[in-house]
Amino acid sequence: MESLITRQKVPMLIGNKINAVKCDKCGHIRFPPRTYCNKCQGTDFSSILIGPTGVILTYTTTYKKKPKDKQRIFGFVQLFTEDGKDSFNLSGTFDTENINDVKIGKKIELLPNEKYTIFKLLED
Amino acid sequence: MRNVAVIGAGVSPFGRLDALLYQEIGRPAVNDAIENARIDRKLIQSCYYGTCGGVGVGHEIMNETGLIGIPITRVVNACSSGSNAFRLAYMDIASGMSDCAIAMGIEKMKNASMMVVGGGTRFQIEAKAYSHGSPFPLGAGGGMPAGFALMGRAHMKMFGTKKEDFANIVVKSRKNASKNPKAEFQTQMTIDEVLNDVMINDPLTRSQCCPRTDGAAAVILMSEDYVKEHHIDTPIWIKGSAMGSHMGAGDPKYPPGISTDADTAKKVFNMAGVEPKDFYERGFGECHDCFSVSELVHYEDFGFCKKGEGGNMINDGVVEIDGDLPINPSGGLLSVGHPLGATGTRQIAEVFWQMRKDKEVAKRQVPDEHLDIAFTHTLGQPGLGFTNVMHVFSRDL
Repeated sequence: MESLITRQKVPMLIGNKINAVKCDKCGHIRFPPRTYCNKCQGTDFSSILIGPTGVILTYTTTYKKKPKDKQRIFGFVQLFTEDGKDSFNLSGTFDTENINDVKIGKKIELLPNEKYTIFKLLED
Repeated sequence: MRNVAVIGAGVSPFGRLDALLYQEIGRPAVNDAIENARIDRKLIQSCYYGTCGGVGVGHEIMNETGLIGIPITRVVNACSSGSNAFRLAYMDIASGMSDCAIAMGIEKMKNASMMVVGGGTRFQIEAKAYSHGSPFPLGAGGGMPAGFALMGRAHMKMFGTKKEDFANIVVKSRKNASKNPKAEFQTQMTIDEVLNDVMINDPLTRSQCCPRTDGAAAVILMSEDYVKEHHIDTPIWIKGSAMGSHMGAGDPKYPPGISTDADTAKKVFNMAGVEPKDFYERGFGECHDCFSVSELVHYEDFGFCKKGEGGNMINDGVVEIDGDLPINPSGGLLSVGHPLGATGTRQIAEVFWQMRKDKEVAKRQVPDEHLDIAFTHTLGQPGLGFTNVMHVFSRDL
């Protein structure tokens, strides 16, 4: 019988790279890491580090309840492995309050802190 | 499988009904459906009802309408709860288990929740994990409006769709709902009013997001044998029923839209023996316009136009009541409102009344040439998953 414990106790990040696993059988990337692949049910994985750079896929503003509330720009980015062969999509907040600074396709760098996933906008 | 027809429908007025009990909202819908079907209520043999928050309310409402004693099954599947209840009632009759059933949907949004996975903290953690890999994290990280705003933004970039295209969907919705006395919003809006409304998640303003509405809707279904035996006038036949599921709202390789909606549409059209073009010639439909963006991408996902051409559908008047393919003649979720459990059966009531040219829809009647076939569609997010439910109806058996 399989163990009920399937969460791998590994750091989520190594530096500012995502510490994910890649299924040896089907190549599916799993994050956060688990002990099994949810696509093929395989149990053999290799570690894979993704990021810290990527591109913006899409974005929106967060709702401001009060005018004085900080305007956050929230969105999704595609992060790549160093060799560019694998990628992973991640949600987070951009390091700007101005929506006009953000463009789909613009390069970013993952700068996570204790609480949030922050994407730093890079110069093209 | 046996042939099954819809023979009656009833809808309560939609709105903020906090002060009312569930049975006070549901009873009129059930009684109206029975009266609309012109049958003896003793013929009804089973009940399926969709609700997210109303634990046990099906029993209360069946008790208040003299139907207690029949099998009563509650369905919880977020925004698709009502259409799921209808699908189960259809399967019940098609399989031969029953000959007449009632499908009901009801919601008081104060009590409703789609977060059924056990606690806010766990939901947030799991949602964040599951949303990874999807470009459109509906329900995760920014709530439902943010998910559709992200989808809309990507659509704008990829296809040149404009904010005005999304806003025009609200203008159309309000125009239709102004002729629907049961809609929560019955006042019309101009495109400038829509665009200048309170910003929720750019590009979605408040009026581009469906309201949190209370309400109930019920429909009566009957087997072909019973339709003949009880001389039912103008039954509307169920020709297709399909459902799909997925985690996260999009395949990263799929253009902005909902890939499983496309799959579900293909399945239901195939079962009904129709193609998207048939709806242009002789059909119409009600789709899940929870946000302006969602209606636009549904046009594309259902195959009514190519990817990226959804804006033309609204700007060229194709989806108006008098257009080539009327969509949401009721006013849809954006204006009628969206009581999670009731929306699916409310949509089915609308297409049933339209196809039967019932007095209920006299002021917003779809033209004769479009009343041969119709579709309904809901998209629900129960917890972290998604469920799509579609049906196709026909006046001919």
